[in-house]
Amino acid sequence: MSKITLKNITHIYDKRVKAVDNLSMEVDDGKLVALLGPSGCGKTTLMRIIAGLIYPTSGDVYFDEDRFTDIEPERRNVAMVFQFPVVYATMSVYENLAFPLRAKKLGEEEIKRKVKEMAEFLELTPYLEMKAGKQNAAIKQMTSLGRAIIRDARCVLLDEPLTNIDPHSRLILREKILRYRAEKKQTIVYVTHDQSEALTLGDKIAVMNNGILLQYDTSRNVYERPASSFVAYFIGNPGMNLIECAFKKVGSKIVFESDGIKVSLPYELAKEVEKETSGKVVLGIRPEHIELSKRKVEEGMLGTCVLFEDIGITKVLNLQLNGTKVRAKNPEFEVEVGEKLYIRFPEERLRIFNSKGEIIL
Amino acid sequence: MNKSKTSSNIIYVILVLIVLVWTLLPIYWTVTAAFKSRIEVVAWPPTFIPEKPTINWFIEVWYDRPNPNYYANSILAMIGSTIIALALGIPAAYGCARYTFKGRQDVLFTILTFRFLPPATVVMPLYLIGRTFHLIDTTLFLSILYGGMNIPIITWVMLSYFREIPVELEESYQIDGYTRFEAFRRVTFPLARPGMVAISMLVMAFSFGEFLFASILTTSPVAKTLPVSIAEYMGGEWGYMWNQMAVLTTYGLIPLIIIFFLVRKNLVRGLTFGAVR
Amino acid sequence: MAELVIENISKKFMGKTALDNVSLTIHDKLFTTIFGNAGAGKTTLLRIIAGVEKPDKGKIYLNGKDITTFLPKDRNVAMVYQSFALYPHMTVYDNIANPLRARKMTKSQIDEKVNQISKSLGIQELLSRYPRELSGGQAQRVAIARSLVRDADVYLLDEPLTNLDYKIREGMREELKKMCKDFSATLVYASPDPLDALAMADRVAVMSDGKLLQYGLTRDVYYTPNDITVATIFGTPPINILKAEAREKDGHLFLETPLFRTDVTKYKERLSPNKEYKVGVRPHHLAISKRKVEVEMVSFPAEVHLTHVVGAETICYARSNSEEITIHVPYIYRMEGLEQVYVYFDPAHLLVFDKDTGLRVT
Repeated sequence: MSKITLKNITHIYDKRVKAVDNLSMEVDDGKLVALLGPSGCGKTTLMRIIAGLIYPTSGDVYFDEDRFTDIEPERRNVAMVFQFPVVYATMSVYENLAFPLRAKKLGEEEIKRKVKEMAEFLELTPYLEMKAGKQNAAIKQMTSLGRAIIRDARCVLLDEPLTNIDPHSRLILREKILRYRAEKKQTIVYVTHDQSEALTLGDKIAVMNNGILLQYDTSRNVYERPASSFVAYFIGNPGMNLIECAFKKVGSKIVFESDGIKVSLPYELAKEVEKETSGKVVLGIRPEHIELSKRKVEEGMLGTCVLFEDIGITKVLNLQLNGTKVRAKNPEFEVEVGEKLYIRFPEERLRIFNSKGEIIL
Repeated sequence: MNKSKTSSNIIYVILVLIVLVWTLLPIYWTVTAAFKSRIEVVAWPPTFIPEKPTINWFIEVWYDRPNPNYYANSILAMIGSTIIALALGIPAAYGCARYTFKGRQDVLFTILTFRFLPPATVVMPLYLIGRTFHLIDTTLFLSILYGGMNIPIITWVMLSYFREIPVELEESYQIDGYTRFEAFRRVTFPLARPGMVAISMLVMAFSFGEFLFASILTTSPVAKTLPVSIAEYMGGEWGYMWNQMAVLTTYGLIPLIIIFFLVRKNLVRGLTFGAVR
Repeated sequence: MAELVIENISKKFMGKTALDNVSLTIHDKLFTTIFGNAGAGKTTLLRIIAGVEKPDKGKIYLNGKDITTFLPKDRNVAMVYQSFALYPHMTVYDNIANPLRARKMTKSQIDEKVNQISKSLGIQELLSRYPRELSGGQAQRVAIARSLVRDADVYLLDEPLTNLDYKIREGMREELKKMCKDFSATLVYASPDPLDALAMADRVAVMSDGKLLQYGLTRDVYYTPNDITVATIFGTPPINILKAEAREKDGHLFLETPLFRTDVTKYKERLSPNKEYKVGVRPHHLAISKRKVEVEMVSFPAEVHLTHVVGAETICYARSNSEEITIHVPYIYRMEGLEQVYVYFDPAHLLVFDKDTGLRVT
């Protein structure tokens, strides 16, 4: 159980491909941090650097206050679970779980006790005597998780551990990881491309893209206050609507305009945008926050519904406001394709990004 | 980091040098021996560069005995056997890779068992069979035998090649609007070509160098092959005729080297990767 | 105009049934999803339509013509594979042009068509690349371009989104639906994900173990499933199923479950008293509240023990009277430790199934 500190980590593959770009972050002792990003964003590389499987081009890895950058992976005492279950196929599940304990030369009695305990916790007891290679993916992954956490590692690294197992077992495994973290106060780094896993499991979420750490914050904040337009797009299902707008000051308000879009905010609230010299900003609004009405509303913009889907939990609408397309979500709203609607962006839900994609408001 | 890279580079260079010496030295030795005099070839200490290079041996073996015939026979048997082995092995491999039918595993195993027999045990029965069909001392007989012996290896190597090529590619090609044969010819064949070329090289090398069958099943310049001729320079009234043997070996290297240079581009693999995610 | 009729198709592989007497009609210019879990027979059905697999029994008609014995090349059916099946030794351009070359088009015609389709799919820059130089999303687009470039009667798509990152999947869903409309194409799309069908399909065919269980408009299948299997597999998270018993009291008929009791007098003709049933209610038809509220709805207490945030929605896993209940709410719900809540739902959303046959009764 250690704190992990990454200082200015950069990793370049083949002298060309920058996988991680000057990244610094701290994972507090006993916390679960989710590394989230699309494939190729550098999250797996970063995790392998923590594990010591990759030597970073520059930068340092610390566990607690000690520099570990040059320490070999086998001496870091880090446990890791991979996307594809790794088990010793010809050994029984019991022997798989006992393996790291035998390596530590524990007594047979103690091994037996610990394996039994772990099997109980992971609901693996019925499989203990069976060959690990003969089990389904979920049992195998459960076994490799057990093998990783049975010894008291400094931290546990999980690399998309749920991607290749069925949805039902996924739920069970997820609950096990949460319970394990709560009981053992273990430091866990969890790599995923699935935002729902990250939002559900992570105490904090590190959103990465192109090797850069874009935001490192709680799940509430990455959803409500995305640090950049990429985070705004990546978090959410579908992501935030991003509309490029011109703005100008009109009386006591700042008016944002684009083809079919006209939104105004009080000057006091939005004056920060005046620092943006290009005259253009990106307006962000989450689909679930858009207000829809079939009757005329104040400050409502007129749009046409071009796509309507009832996906059960909610309805997804694509709206055409002149040249701008906007996605909206509403659990109750029923509408026909082609119908005209009034659309309003609630002031408190609007986010504004500058031309570089950084958040201003 | 840099330090370890330099040292790994040095190790790499050393390993390459060892491999080069290992493969090229015997060839160099043989080729130079062909230019040495009868005395020099057995001299001690040996010379690395012939002192008085001569091409007399090259002329002698060409006119002294019917070596041009033997040479041609070897090339014929090589080409014939390779064609036979490919013509039978590839369809067998393709069929077993693409179709599921009863007893497929048995077929494959049976094909493999042909290779289990030690050649020496079948030489006599083959001689009798050959005599019955009047095939003794013919290149055709050698081609058939060499081809047959190589069907198992072709089948098994190509089987794994074909299995690696997703059947979806062929299906997709058919859905695009082509016949099954076109799909094979334009998709599977080009993708399997590196394997086919590599395995053909092995078959050719085997057929060209085969000695046991050729020595017993051929008797005259009509069908005798180069390895048999080389063996005849051993012993006899002149003792070991190293120079002549070296010259014939050098001649023998030429077609294989030519073929290798012609097809070496096809040996490069890599196109198959990334076909399917 | 394309109408595809599949009639009594059966297929076995090594004695194992893959398709069992499947019949359905694919309608012109509609987006039809074949939905089912792995091994349900979706891919086999698509392959039989494409002609790369022969059915043991049954017939396929395209526009009234029996094409059961036609070779794939003579069917005018295009297909996108889950693995994309791009020809690795050909450039993206040649991949896309391949079906056109088979149709003996002139070079300039081919050029025009390839450029046009790659523009509408945003892959113009990739034309000279080889498949191994493409990302998953790009390879996907190329595969789709290769099938859409020709005027096929029917386009078959076999789980084309399964191998993609979920964020790309989200965008592709919308694009696919738009393409179906823009090209006036008849699309048959196989998928194990109910969301694919709900988000895109006009019609859905639900399959399980080689059998076609239900075929109809997507919303009809979702809200009024024929039986308990369709209700269970076609929906994510899966529907909550409870045991129930019908009881008569004072001229009213009630359904009693371990969690709640509800008046079902209006279904009197279809339910018999003292008989056991199974009831189902979709997770998103359940609402939760921390305080008890008086509303005209069925309610019961529960304990939420796990929540799972999906975008802006939350799936809550709760326990009540030793039953596991899933609740899907359209907002972000964060819990601190176990939480006691009240679960509400409108009894109109209750689906009642026969306990033995599994058929829907109301």
